[in-house]
Parts: sequence; structure tokens; C-alpha cells
Amino acid sequence: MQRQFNQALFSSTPEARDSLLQDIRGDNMRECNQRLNVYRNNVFVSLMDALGEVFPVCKQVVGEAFFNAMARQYIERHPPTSPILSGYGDQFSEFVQNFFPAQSLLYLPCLCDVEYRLLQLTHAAEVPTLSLEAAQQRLSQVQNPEALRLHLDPQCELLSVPFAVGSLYLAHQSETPNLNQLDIAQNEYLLLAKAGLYGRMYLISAAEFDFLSALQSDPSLSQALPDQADFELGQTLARLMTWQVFHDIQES
Amino acid sequence: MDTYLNQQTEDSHLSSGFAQRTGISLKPSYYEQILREQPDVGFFEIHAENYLSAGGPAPYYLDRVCEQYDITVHGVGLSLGGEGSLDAEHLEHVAQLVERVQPKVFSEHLAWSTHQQTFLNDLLPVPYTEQRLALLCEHVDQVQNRLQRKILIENPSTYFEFNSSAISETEFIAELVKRTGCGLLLDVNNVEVSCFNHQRSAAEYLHQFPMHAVGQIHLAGYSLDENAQPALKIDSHDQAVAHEVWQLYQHVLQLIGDCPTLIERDGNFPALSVLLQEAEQANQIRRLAKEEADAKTI
Repeated sequence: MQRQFNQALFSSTPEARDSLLQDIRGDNMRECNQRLNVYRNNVFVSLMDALGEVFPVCKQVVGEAFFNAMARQYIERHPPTSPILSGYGDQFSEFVQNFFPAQSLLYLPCLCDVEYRLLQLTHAAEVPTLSLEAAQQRLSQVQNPEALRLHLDPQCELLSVPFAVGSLYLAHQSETPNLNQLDIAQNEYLLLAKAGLYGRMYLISAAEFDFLSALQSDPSLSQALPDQADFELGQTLARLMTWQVFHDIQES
Repeated sequence: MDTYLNQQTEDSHLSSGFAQRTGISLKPSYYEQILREQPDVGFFEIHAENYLSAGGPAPYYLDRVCEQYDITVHGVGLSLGGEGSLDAEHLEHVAQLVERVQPKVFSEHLAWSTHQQTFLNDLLPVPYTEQRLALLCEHVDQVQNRLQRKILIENPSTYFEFNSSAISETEFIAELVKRTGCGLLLDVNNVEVSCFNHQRSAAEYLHQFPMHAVGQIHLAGYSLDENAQPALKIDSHDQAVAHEVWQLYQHVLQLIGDCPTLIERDGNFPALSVLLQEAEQANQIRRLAKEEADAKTI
């Protein structure tokens, strides 16, 4: 019965529904179909809503009708495999890339990828990081800056993206997004980190991206300093300490 | 039949918020207000599947709410009515949550939602046959064994009935209780929805329902699909509790006396005060039922 039910929900051909319809009480086929459709509608609407909660900015950008059309096809091709829906949509970005009606929105898969990563960060366990005060205190006690080791929270993610999806995402955190200054074709560097209970995204410079990438593989400050002329160590450290992304600061 | 009737635990409920005052669903949009204002509700109910992440706001706020209120855990994804075996990993996650939260009640549904690897995110109907009953009993036994407690199973809202069903829903449920020792969560809105959709008498359904096993009641709102022929009531949980559901609730309490009750809301969330008013309305009906029961014993 479940197999027939599953087929009836996911297939558009009448044949797929027939065997289940035979087992439904009703005065006529129209009524049986109507009754079955309540379940079909419940399944799709609830899953479209679930995807809308995972990709809220994508939904805002393309509009509800477009998003739901895209989500419906995704659900048909990649139905969830777990009752925990906060992890649903892991292939959505890839799907969107190949979704023909969205082909002109080149940045959309990239935006979906960022949104998915942020939500997974939100649901990940909180890892203790240094508060701004604690980080400042550690730095003030440093004897030899050359020997400083900056340990980033291992959950931090660095992304170099070919579109301004970071700015697009941040603009949509406001109720009235202002997109006037936004050049979506601009590449961006993003830092995703957990701040308190939530995954957060920060725009960083190319030099900061290089600096943080280097710190991820080797926490030695002296080894990580980038060559770029626009890199201001003091400013960058101040920003990173405010975002509380350091797991530890030590002097080796 | 395994028995998990821990009498001591059951008695301790009698003095708790859960037993005394109506509860409401715990939803993210209310977290901050609940902690700030500490509303006078008996308990909060969570959907297990929304509280299984390692971090983030859900477990954080749940812990805070747990410090001050009784909690009930309502599973929506174990697929107890399914044809296949239970998802052991998911059951383990749910069991860990139950161990952590120590809820007054753990409840699940007479429904299925998982087919092989696919989770359909809806409570899908079960044909009432001896074969499905035996399988459901196995699943309920498995959950009760893992949780080491009696669980409550909720009567479903359904939009069609199977020709292959050989026994009535109430007989099926009564037999489930007899074989597994589980309790029941009587969802009064589901009774209204299903009886309307199958053109049956809700009073008759309640008369046949194994009321002795009811440990909790759910009240919720439905929506009406008037375009359907015949019209169908949909168990949407996004409206206020309907007038006829309040009437049925009164009738249920006349039959069984006072019973822990939840105002269940899963969408179209109103101000918290609106849910609190509904909970108070349930409390008033419960007080009347208690007074009537007391009057009878004098």
C-alpha cells in the first residue's frame, strides 16, 4: 500500500494512482481523487514551506510562486530522507543551477549554497569562543607578537564567491531591502561563523580572506600575514574579535 | 504485553502544571515572550523532530523553558503505522531527547510518514487490518521498550477510508491499547475532522472510543475545503479551535472527567495572548467538569 501511495503522490500519470484509488472509499472516482489530493497537497505544501524556511532569501528574491514551482520539482526529484527537515535541501543549490527557468539568475545557486551553510551552522553545537574582552586581554598580555597563534573556531567557513550574494543576503535581513547600490556581478569574500545561537555571515576583503585561510591551516600569525597593501592587521583583528571567531589566542 | 505503568510517576503528575492547567504548543515566535512574561500555562508541548539539533535556538530555549514548565513531547516522524521497520537511528535520537527533557508525556500518531528512505512529512492513513494492527503493536512495543515508558497514541484525522479496512478505527485503537498497554491522546479536532469527512457521528465515535486509556487531549483548529465535493475538513492547526470542537470537548469531559489538555497550533500564529485565552477557555470547561464530577460523588 505504501508503495502505491508513494507513487500516487509523486507521479503525474493517472496509472500511478489507479491501484491506490481502487482501495479508497467514495461514490465515484472524482471523489476518491479529491480525497487523495488532500494528502498530496499536504505533503507538497508542507515540504515547500520547509524549503522556504531553509532558503528564505532565495524565496524573497524570486517570489513565492517561482520558488514553489522550483521547490515542487526539487521535492519530486529529491524527497527528504530524514524526519529532521532542518537538514533538507542539501542538493537544492545544485538543482537550482540546472533548473531551466532560473538559468538567467546565475547567482541563485550560490545564494542557496550560502543560505544552506548558514542554517547548518545555526543547528550545529555551540563551540566556546573568546569574548571580545577575553580576546583583548590575551592580546594585551602578549610579549612577542611574532610568536602569536590565533586559533579560529573550527566551524568558521571561508567562501570566495563570484557574485555579490553576501551583500544580497545582508540586504534582505532588512524588511525593506535596498538593492540600489548592489552590483550582483561583483565577486565577494565571505566569512560564515556561529555567533551565539545563530550562523552569521560577514563580508571580508580579499586580503582578510587570504589571512583567515592561512590561519585555518596554520594558526601562526607571522606566517599568515598577507602581502596586500590594503591589509590593516589592527582593524582586521578588531573585527574578528568583535565577531568572536577565535577559539583561542596563545603565545607559543 | 510489556507494562510501563509506573504508578509513582503517574501520581506525581496530579500535582503538576501538566495535570492542572491547559498547555500550549511551544513555537520559536513565542520563545522570548515566554521567558520574559512567564505566562500561566500548565505546560508546553514540543514536536520532537524540531528539537533534535545539536545546537541553535531550539535546544537553547527548550532548556530555559524546561526549567520553569512541564513539557510534553509529541513525535511526528517515527512512522509507527508504517509497513517497514522503524528507523532505529531516529528512534535513538528521540529517546535521547526524552531522556534529556523528561517530559510528562511522550505521544505519537496512528499514521505513517516514511516509505523506505523517503520521509513524506505528513501523517498518512493506515488500513485497519489485522496485519497492520500486529505491525503497529510491534512498533509501539519497540518504542515503549526503548523509552522505558508508556506512550500515548493519537487518533488520526483522515481524508479517506480504505476499502481494505476490515475493522473500525475505534476497534483498531482499542485493540492496540489492549495488546501494547499504551495510552491514548484523544485529539478532539481529529474526531470532528474525520467524522465530518466520512459523514459519521462524532458523538457515536466518542461513545465507542476506549476512553479509559486517554491520558491527554488535543484541541486545534481546522480549515474547510468547500470546493471539494463533498466538502472536506482539513486538520490544519492554523485556526482557532472551532465551536463544534469546544462542544465535543465538553462532551468528552462529561464522559471521562478532567483530563490534561493542549491547545495545539502549528501555523498562522496569533499573538501569544490569543492562545492563552483558548487555554483559559479549556480551563473553564475543565473546572466545570471537575465540579460536576465532585457533585456526583457527594
